[in-house]
Amino acid sequence: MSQSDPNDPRLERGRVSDRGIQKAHSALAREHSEVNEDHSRVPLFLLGFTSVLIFVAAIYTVRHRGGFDPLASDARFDPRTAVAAAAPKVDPIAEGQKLFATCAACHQPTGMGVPGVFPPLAGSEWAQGDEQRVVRILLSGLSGPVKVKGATYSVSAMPAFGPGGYGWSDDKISYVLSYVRQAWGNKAGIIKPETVAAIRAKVGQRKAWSEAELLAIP
Amino acid sequence: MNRIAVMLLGIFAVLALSWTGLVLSNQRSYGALQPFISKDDNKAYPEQLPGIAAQGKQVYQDLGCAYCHTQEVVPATISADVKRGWGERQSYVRDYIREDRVLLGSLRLGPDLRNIGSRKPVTGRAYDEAWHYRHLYDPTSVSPGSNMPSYAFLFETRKIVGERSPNAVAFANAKEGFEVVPSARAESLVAYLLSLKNAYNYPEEAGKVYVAPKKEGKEGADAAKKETK
Amino acid sequence: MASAFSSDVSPAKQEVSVADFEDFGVVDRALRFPLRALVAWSAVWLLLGLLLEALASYQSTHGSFLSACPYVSFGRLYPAATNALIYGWGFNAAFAVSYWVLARLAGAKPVSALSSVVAVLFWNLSVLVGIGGIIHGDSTGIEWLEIPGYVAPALWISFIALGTHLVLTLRHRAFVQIFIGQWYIIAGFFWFAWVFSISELMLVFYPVRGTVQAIVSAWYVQGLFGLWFGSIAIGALYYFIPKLTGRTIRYYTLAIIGFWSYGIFNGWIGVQRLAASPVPVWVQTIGFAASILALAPLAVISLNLLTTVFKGFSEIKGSAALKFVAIGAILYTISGLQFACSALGEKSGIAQLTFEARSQIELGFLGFFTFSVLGGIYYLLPRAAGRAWRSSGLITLHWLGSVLGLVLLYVGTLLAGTTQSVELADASINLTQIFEHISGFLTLRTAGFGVLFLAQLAFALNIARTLIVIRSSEVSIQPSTPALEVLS
Repeated sequence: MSQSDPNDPRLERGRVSDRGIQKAHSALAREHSEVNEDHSRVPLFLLGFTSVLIFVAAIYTVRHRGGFDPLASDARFDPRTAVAAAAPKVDPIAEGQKLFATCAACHQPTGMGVPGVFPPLAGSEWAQGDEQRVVRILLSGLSGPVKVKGATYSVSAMPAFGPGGYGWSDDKISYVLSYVRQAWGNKAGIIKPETVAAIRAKVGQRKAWSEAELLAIP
Repeated sequence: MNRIAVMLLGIFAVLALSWTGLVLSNQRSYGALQPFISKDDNKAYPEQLPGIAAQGKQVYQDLGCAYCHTQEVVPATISADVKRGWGERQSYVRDYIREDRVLLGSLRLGPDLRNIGSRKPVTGRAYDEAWHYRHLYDPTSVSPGSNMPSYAFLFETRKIVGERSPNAVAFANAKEGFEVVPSARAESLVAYLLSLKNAYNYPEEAGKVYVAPKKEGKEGADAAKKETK
Repeated sequence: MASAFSSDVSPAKQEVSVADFEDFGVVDRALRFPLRALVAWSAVWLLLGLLLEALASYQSTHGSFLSACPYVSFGRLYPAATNALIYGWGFNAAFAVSYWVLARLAGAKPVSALSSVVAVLFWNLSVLVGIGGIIHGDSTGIEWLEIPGYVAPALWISFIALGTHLVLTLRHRAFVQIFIGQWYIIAGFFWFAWVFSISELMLVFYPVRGTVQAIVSAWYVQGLFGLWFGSIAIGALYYFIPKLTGRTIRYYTLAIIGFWSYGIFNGWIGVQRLAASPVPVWVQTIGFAASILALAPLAVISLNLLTTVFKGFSEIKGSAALKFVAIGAILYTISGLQFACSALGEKSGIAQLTFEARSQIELGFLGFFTFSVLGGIYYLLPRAAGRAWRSSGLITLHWLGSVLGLVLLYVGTLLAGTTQSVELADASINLTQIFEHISGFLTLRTAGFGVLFLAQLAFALNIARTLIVIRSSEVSIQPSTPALEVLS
């Protein structure tokens, strides 16, 4: 076993002692001001390099922070451009027309109803009338006799589409009402979802309205 | 450098900084995210896994499916995932809140499985139960050229006694008098795979995707519509 | 030989005999049992891990290989392989090198080194149970942390025990100064103890909700590779490069800046791996920005290590350890650059889901970390065993095989990854076609693991022949005259 050969890979020999390493490097660490070509100079390019890195990283972070929104996970999301596109443009009349398919089962696609059984909506003073009444009808239903366009419908069984009934949202009720109020020559204004929400909050869940109760509303 | 206490404090601070800034901040901002209740059908999305599918998730995890299959649909702007039919939309943070082990996967040797329960293949039959059983038993029988290992050990080959088993897997070249029946693990795994669908588009998240800058005319409007879907 | 450094004028404050603390002295004798145990275990795990990796890699090109038995199906074999390499080879080697380097630089005998043998045994048995658990099907499902939760407390306790021994060594140190390499090692132990315990709590025992798990997992992965393995390896490099070349660290005044910036950024760059994932945008962005900033510590540390190596390049012919250590230093720079580059580009998210990301991790772990500690082990084992390595031919074979194996592995994996990245972005190429395109590269990858395995056989054989004495007439090395105390 060769002890004297410093290049024998079977027994590596350190070129320096551990004490030497400690002493030499702590001496280096202390020599801040020493102008020694080899050891104390901090390469200037490192300073410049680091500044560029900080600049690039900062710009990148600011541009792609996505508003720090936890729900945004698309890497290229930009809150400024997205806000404009966020609210999907819903046409209440078109949506209402789709929803009317449910109503057409009784009130007929023509809005004419079935004489003696289902009241018409086309030209109806109720449909084109006060929104406070027509929203209530949809929310809680209508029972008992009701007079529409001069004809009396003695047994009404208009179901509730609000709480306790089909559970339609404010949006859906407002869309279908808006459609009805503008279809078949009806000339009434659209109804906003906020109106439906306000009435829903006031009325809550209740049994179906009667004609008298509805007419009592101012 | 020789003051141990100061250095140790610094070492602690360095780690505390990243833990606070990355882990704690996210845990606080969406660690309690709730499912979204849809007003249209009063259901909570994402949907809860049925019991057998939850067991299947365990099978998926212990067999290591996540080493070849990811479960995240990457946004269409930086990948072709949506074009490949791996999902109608990118995966959102909310899609994963019901999972006690999120297996996003890290390598795509096989297709993404996030929406395997609602995907329709380009040709042939749908990805139904029977397809999955045949695929697991012998991937090359339904997917020629596939390198996916066969999971035949999830099935039991046994002699037909009396009537054929109702859930036996149908093969063209089955041995005469024998049938291949999926084990409970296979059934739960397939139930899990069939439950993987994330089609519901939460309204809040739907607005938080990348929108390409508006181009003039119809082309721009169409592009914008597609992005916000 | 280099010329003497002129600042070596004042004697040390405490007059201690160098012979007490140098080769085969007090420190080496006190650590001989733990070190032998650690090196032996590390070799066993290295072999097992690489064998399993080779088998798993073969399975990824030939799906039917070993697919009949669930215990060795790809989904279980692959995590068993990676965990055997990480928690088996990686930790044992890291313990061996850090123990020895810290004690030698402190000039102090470690407190109760014998009980650390118990901790080593405890660690390795826990890892064994853990790998068995993965094969059995108890994997946690968390990448790079598949070890089942029931083993985690045992791992943590042994880790704390070993770390405590190590840190207490500083209390009775002979040298007042603490060298930068020691700080990397001490920091590594503290960082990993916290990262591991927090991650186990937030992922395994009290899992957090949704993709917060992905964030914690990414934070853990960088804590494992950067704050633990990277720290230990850099600490070792800072010691062995001056030791083997006889040159001081070129820009030592920068070293402390490098240390702090290394620690700060490694906590944040992990989430870069979540680029395409369903996590908040700002998390992905912070990951990218931190990866760009992390080029600063990369530059500082690389500058220090590489310029010192090249200053002392003439010593490389005569030193096998320096050959390993030099490669380790170079691969640190390359793997760090690759990591930073993978943050750039719009489609970088997809690259994280391909073999590209894997190639970077493997280059860092099997390249940078493994080569650095192998150099250290080649230096320290004779001092722990009390006798020189039995065969220099096996050392050369080991070095050549490791380099060749790593090149094959890295090139194969990287090319597979880049092909995947490009082709996954094109919806007209289906996955079967992608697989056909990359299977050649994956075969290269398998070949790389195979060659690495064979090379480590040479290593293990050498260790066995050195540690196991058949004939008592084997001459053991006597403490020699101290090496020079001066550096140039």
